[in-house]
Amino acid sequence: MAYLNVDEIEVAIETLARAHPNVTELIPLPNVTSEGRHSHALRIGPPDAPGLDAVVITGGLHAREWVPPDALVNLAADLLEAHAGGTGLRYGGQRFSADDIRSVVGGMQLVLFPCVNPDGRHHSQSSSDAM
Amino acid sequence: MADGDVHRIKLRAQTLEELRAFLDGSGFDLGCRPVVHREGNEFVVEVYAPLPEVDRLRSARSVSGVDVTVVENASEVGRNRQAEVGSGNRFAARQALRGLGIKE
Repeated sequence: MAYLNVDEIEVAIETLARAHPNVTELIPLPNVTSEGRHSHALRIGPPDAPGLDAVVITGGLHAREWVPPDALVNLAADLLEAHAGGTGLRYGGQRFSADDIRSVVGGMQLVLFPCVNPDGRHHSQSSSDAM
Repeated sequence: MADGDVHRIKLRAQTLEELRAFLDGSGFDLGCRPVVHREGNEFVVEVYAPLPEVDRLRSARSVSGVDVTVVENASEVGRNRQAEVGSGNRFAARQALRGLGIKE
């Protein structure tokens, strides 16, 4: 699959939030970027559960490092689909049981902010002088 | 290849002091997490810089014992990767992305 562009990252997490409303919250960042882009983070976890530990994972700070935003979007999609289907997850030889998935989605607040620097990513992915 | 193309370059020396002396004040990009690692008996660090800058530094400094190996043209790699970036918006139909993990 080709690298995600910045528009696709935004729509991908919006769509995941809409598909899994019981365990997600789409969090709009308070400010637009210098090029006017809106950014969102995705919280995965039970609603109204104060006191749970929170883990925040960011990606895409360095514009030329294209894989972490894609990896975080895919992680969100995998966790949510596995949780909804009551399955585990396997990546190559690494397996996570359905209980592992439940413990993540139901036992913490996982905040994924896939692309914290969309302006830089867009420039590096599209500009001929970015490289 | 353009003169300004940034290359990934391995610098190799017998001692850390030789590497430091070569790099001191060079302004080379050492990547996000500069790490010197051992390869056999040598110390190796990767830098990113245009080739003319490396050549200029090499000829301007009297440091001996630093071996310079060009690994790849990082700019060219980047330009090739740009062709792999998705165009348009593959999720415009609001169909949820499926991750790469196997659900089982």
